[in-house]
Amino acid sequence: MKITNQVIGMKLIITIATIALFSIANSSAQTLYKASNASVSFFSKTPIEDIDGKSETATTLINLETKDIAFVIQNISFIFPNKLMQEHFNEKYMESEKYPMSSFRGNVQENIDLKVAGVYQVTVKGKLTIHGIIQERTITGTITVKEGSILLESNFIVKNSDHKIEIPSLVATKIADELDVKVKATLIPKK
Amino acid sequence: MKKNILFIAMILMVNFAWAQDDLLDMLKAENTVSSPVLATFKGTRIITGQSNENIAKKHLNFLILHRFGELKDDATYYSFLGIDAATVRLALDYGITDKLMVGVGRSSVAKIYDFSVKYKLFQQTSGGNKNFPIAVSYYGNMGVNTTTFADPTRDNYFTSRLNFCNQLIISKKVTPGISLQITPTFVHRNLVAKTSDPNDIIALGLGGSFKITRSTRFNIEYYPRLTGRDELIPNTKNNFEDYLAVGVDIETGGHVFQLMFSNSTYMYEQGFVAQTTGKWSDFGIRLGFNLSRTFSFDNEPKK
Repeated sequence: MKITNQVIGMKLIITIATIALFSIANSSAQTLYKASNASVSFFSKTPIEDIDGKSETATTLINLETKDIAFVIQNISFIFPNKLMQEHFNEKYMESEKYPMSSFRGNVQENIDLKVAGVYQVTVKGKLTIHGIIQERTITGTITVKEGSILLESNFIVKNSDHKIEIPSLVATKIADELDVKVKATLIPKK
Repeated sequence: MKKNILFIAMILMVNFAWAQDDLLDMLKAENTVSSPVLATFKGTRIITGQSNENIAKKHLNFLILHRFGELKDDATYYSFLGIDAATVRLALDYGITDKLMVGVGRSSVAKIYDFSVKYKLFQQTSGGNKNFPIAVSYYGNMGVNTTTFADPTRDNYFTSRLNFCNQLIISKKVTPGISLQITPTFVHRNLVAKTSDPNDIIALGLGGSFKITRSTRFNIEYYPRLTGRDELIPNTKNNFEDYLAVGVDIETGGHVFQLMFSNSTYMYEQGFVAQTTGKWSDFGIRLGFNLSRTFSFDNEPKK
């Protein structure tokens, strides 16, 4: 009796494991689109100084089935016209050695089918992680679905204070608390 | 049976967790490229000696260095902690590429013009699977002493005015808060004051930088001479000392202020390695500061 129980148990495990594995494999087939050259830029405007940084190497994934979207960006990939600002951005504010990546993971809230071509205004709800601080965010944007490619575009605001990025009072007049962030990515089917 | 149920539950949980974070994890797994380690030191010099830092491409750095009189000479504050006896070096450093920097400077001490070049040979990297553990740079400079010759009736040669320094700068940012450096230094002077003075001196520069806050650091720098010391040369008493300095960096966005105590009045390698005279033990030290401001000439059109 004991042995049969164990055998049934083992079979059950194998079956479930197989199903589990298949479900992972299934979810990542055909419906995944990817970009590793997404552009992310931000802009800080104060009466004294304008600061802008841009990365062209952000990575992003979208799952058309589950309507999940993920972004990961290496903080050190942001390029500034003034290299001193670039160094300070990484060394003093983002602390890129401690927190090398910024990321977003969210889900499209609208009841739409992203496998059908079209232009969709979407609301994406999810978690934005910058400087090690996770913020629940609802970000609006546009998803343009075409044959073989998907375009993601979004503008949103990131507040330094929301992510515990402290601006020393000495430079507070030069760095805005609210940064305008622009995201643009063209995704192609993931191989 | 209980064990089996636990097993199944675990597999389901693992699967659930994967489904939750799969996209993010897939991306994070890809973002493991080595990237250069930044800001090993705040400025192009730890205190007076060079650090591994360069000025970025198309950026110009303007430096004003001051060293004041020795504190021991001023027990009565007559010369305001030596500040009345100020010496100055003005310098410009320019980044031709991100790896190659050239500089020119002029010191009031011995009216020296100096011309320098610093090249990054290896960059320390982090964040990837294959990182390079240290940064290595070469620094060389030529100084031209432009004081009038002591005896104009003698045969005087222009080459007698020249002195040289070659350095290998090996540094490592050990943690985000601690950076260390070893700087083997070779100094050559074509003409020296006394026959007992060595023309060539080898020194082993040691430096460290320790973060206090995001904008301030504590620095220390020591250049013990391996050759050319009095005790190594028979029948000589030149009384030169090893250069030692401690200081702080204060960075204010565009400027870096470096305040220090050092035992040398010289603001370039040939001077502070070979001709330092102050003794720390009897307050032969000087107050000083470096002020640097970087300007960007990178006018590429913004996209």
